[in-house]
Amino acid sequence: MKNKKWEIPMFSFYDHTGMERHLEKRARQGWLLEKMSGLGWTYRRIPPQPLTYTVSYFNQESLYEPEPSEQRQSFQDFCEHAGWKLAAASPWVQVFYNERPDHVPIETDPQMELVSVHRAVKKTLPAYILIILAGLWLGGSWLWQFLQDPIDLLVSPNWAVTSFCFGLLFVYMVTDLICYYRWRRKAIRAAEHGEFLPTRGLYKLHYVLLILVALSLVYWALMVTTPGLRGFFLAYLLLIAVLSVLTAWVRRTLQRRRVSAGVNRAVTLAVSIGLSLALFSGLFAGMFAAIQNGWVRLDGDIHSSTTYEWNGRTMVAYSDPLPLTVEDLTGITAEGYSCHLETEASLLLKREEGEQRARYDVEEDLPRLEYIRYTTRFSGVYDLCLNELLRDYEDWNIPGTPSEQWMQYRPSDAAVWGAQNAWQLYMGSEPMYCYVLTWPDTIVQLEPDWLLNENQMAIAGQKLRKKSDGVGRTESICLAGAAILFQVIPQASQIFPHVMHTQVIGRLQLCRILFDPFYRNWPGRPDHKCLSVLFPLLQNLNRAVI
Amino acid sequence: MPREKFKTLTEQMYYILLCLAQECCGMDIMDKIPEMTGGRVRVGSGTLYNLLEQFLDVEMIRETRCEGRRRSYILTEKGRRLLEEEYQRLCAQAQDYRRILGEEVPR
Repeated sequence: MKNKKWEIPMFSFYDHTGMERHLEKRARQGWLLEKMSGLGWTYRRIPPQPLTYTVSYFNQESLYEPEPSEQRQSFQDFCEHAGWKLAAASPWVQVFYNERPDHVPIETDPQMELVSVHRAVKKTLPAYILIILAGLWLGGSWLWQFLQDPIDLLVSPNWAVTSFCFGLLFVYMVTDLICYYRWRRKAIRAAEHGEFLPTRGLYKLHYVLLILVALSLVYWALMVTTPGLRGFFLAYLLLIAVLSVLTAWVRRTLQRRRVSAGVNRAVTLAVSIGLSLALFSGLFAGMFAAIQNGWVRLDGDIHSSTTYEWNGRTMVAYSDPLPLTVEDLTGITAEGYSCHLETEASLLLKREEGEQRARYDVEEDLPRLEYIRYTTRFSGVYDLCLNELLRDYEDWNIPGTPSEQWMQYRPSDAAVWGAQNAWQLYMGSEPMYCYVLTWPDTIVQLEPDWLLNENQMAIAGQKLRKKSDGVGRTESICLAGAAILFQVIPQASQIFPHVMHTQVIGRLQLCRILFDPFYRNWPGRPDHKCLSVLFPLLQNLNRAVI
Repeated sequence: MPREKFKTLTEQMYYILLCLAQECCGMDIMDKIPEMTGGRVRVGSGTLYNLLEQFLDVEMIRETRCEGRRRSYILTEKGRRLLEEEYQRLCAQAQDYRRILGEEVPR
């Protein structure tokens, strides 16, 4: 039987009532608080018993005061005299417990209590404001970009996760402060009548936010297309942890050796700055060295490439496999091309940028081909992407530009491409060699530097399209998950009859995922004929089960 | 309306100062007050600690002795005057009561 317990509590700093109730519940379960630190709370096993806890805000001294400080000890003596034993202490908070049923509370004057809580909150206020401003800046710019140009945001997990986390932190800090000031306003009124008002924190919301942050970090670690960056980020987190632990250790050691607060502050600050400079410059230097020596790749794609000299400079010629090449369209094979394919993907969207252009040292005038293929993995982002692409050139038009220079996509014949929809770019009334083509799940922006004939259009459409039924890969997994849930809990479909649609689509996706490997084209699409046979079978099976 | 600091005293402040009319150790006040009031008034350890600090700051009390962490205090002239003013205020309240309701003991 384990005798120690550890947990990370999610209480607002001012929520002493919440903490006290939680600790009293733990005591009834047989756990007594033993230690509080930045890494959580530690308990030791005791016989289950009713204990009364009080969280006291002791803020008459600085964080660097020698330990144990006389003031603090004297305060503890007072409490001990009244039967309050010290359970644990952090720099700003001391937690006492009392075994006597007829105890006198530590605070018997509500106004005095308000003063000490507020003094403690004021000390943390600068950190709150700093994080709120950072959250406002990053979260706000994330939202702005999401509304304006969502593609870069949707395709890159780095920027999305950073901003999302800061946005959540912003929500956390703002709700916490609002909640505190609301409590304080009411508590002041209650104190005028000599009454205490219990604090109420938002710990449920804070748990949700913490889980969201953890999930988004997991998502980032899974999705990041630059493996070097993942290692770099982990090393960065590790160094922050090392730095915090070492700085705290220096401060605590000096406190125990009873070094004066001023000296302690100066030494701790110097150690903190010195260590940060040493550790992080070491990390960055190591990272650059690793990239230069090719031990770590920041680029997620593996390129096959050769180098050549041109005008005294070393140039790189790529030979990546492209889904569509100039040779496919013209039938002419030429040497001297550089083929570059770059892929970036998140759970929502995949972007493949293909480019085939002549090497700089080739004098022959070779056709150039560029395209970007977007594969949506969640149907919700499809329109967002398409709208941004169709607006892309229009956004560059300066108001007042003559109409013959006005760039605009106009609908064109989709049938020749074998596409669902097609647009061509126009400058005024002159058509440009730039097209946007759509299929379910796939949007392509194609820019050859010559006018394609109908035959070439058909080949381009055939090569660039992906077989799809309009349900993205991530969406398909989510729907399949929902289908399993409804299969396991049949009542769920009775409670939510409107999700019948989800059930049907979900089972279809489940089939797809189960049978896809047999078609050896995961993450491609299975044969719909097979599904049309399987689906009624599954439906009958479902009826039999329910 | 918020009370002006120490202009009027709360019951807890009043009894702490009353205890300190004679030299007294901080912790002993916690026991003396319930004795003095028959258990009617009790002062919490945190409240007492903070109030003693505040009384010291505004020189209503002064430290007389320090044995280890055991500190003793006594009222200063200022403290005595403020306690006296509070007593007069309470007396005035009692007089007003008697004037309106007579000497009868409230049931």
